[in-house]
Amino acid sequence: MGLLTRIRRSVGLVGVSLRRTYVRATKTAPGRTWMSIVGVTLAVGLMVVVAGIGVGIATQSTVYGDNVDYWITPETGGSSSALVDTDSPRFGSVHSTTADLSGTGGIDYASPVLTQPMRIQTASGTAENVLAVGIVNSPQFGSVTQVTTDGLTVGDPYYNNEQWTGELVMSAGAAELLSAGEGDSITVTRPRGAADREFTVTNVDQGASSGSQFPIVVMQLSELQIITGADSNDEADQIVVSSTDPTIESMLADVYPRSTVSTRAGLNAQAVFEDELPLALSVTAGIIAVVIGTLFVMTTTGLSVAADRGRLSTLAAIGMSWSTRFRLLASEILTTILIGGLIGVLLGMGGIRLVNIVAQRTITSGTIASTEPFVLASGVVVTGIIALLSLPYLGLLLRRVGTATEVGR
Amino acid sequence: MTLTDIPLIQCRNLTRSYTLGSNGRQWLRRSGTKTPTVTAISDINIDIKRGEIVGCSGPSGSGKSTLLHLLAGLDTPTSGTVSFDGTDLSSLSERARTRHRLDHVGIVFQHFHLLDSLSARANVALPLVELGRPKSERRNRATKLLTAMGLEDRITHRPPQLSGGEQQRVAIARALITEPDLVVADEPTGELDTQTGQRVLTRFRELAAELDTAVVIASHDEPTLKIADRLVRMRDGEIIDIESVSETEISDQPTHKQPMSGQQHPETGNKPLNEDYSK
Repeated sequence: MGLLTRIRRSVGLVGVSLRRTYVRATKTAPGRTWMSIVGVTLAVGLMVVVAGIGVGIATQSTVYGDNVDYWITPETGGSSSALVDTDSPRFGSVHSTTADLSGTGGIDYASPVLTQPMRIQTASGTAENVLAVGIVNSPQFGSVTQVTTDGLTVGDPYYNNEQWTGELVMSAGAAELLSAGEGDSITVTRPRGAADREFTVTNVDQGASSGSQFPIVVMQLSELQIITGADSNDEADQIVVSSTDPTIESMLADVYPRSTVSTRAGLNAQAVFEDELPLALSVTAGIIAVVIGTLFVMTTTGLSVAADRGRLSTLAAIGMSWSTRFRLLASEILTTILIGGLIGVLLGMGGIRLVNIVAQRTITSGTIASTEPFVLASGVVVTGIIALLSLPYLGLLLRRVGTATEVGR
Repeated sequence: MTLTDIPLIQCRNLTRSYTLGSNGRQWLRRSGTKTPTVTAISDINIDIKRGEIVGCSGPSGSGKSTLLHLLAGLDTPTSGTVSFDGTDLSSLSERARTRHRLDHVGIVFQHFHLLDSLSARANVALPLVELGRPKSERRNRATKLLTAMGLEDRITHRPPQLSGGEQQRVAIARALITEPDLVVADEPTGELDTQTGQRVLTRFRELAAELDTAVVIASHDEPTLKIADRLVRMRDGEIIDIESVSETEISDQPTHKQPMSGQQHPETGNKPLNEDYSK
């Protein structure tokens, strides 16, 4: 059989299959068809919701919730934990670079981020180690490492006009650890014998997010640079950029040589795989979805083949080969699964939205489930796996049922 | 001997037995019978030539449908052979027999077996899809055939929207779409009124005359069988008589009249078999 003939046959079969699927779904067997679709829809929808919650859990401890879309980091062994890496290679001249970036169209704001473990002491003498995060604040910044930036003067006054602000925002965890509150004085011991620097707590983040529970203090970048000695080359660990323009990623990659640009989705997907609980949740949800979806499809396929037994044997009798009959039914099943999968992903997105609404009204002020592209892609992957697992069963059924010798019995 | 004199189909000592399922075996045990098989047809010998129309009559359970299935290659004999154009169908694999049916055989089932979800035209064109014919050809040929069957205004209707007679004509059109070498038809006019039935039978006759197609019709309806060049009467799985329809009136009682050697059919010129293989 020539290639053209094979193509014509395949196209013809797809046409027949689509017509059959449509008529069965609307006229001749709507119950069975929709049962298959609903089965896949529920399985995939459930999986998307659970995976969304898993991703939500994983990303709450890293970057989710920060109003940041891109991270520029120096090339290292990995880009994990973008905002808590310390003692890594650093960028230089970060103030001028971020000022240039902020003036670029499509970028809402950009800020260098310097992170450094630091020992601080309250006026009462309590001293503890905390993670200090230095930034150049902006009205749109909102939060960094899930600690609010409210309380820091916008811009970086000390860098611009050497006006020391001494502003320091504490996370709830840091405030609890140091028994400090808003208005308290904080002393930071400088290394290398330089004079100590005085700060004032201008805000304490009372947020319920997990990041706020860690001992973190947020301050002006240049002031942290002075304390840590990173001011000589105007250094920072990374640069965060807020932008809704997906085309700037390549431009950001050219800002510094030997740098890596991470996106929110990429970091979140990575976070899921690095965090065992969300990964376990997502994998379990995926397996359950595959099992439920496949069982649904196999059951309805069995019912469908049994009901179609006479017609299938007729097809065999009039000369339609086993592969043709298989392809005909497989196309119908795949169409059904595809429709179910797509509706399932949409349903899952709705489910995640519902979960977040319920969570925000009952247990938290933030979101607990995420609709990352990674989550939605997993719905599509599960749909594909359901399809792959269902087809061998169809093949097995067609070997035993609907053969030509059955016709007329 | 010309090419048309060579039998298209040769059946030799054809026997088909079925092994009973568990219910049947229990019934046989109760009735004292030991062998869990029933013989549907036994030791059938018959030749069918190209362009010949053979009628097959007999009471229910006489083995007509089984014989038709064996001739069409739907089933294989327990013993004996069915040769199609010199090829023993039993020697073919299931896949090869499926292809053989597509290429050479048109089948009209008693219960039509149309696909409810497809239009009449799509049902008729199905074998052409398997053959990989272009869409335009599929549509044109199916439309032409359905028009010939008097269904020009029902082409886009689906089987549930058609009457029994209309469905039967669609099934017949599907059997004829590939212009097969052999057409086997089980009660092809059972659901048709006299006029439509005659139209269908005329189409069979035209097919036999124009394309040298052999047609085997199983029917209880004696007027339907009048179209046949030869009539095979069956009872209890055996051929009890083969007769030339032109020589005798078809009646309810078999005449057991033997065909005369070398005699030609007045309409088609086909010769009845020189050798009578019936028992």
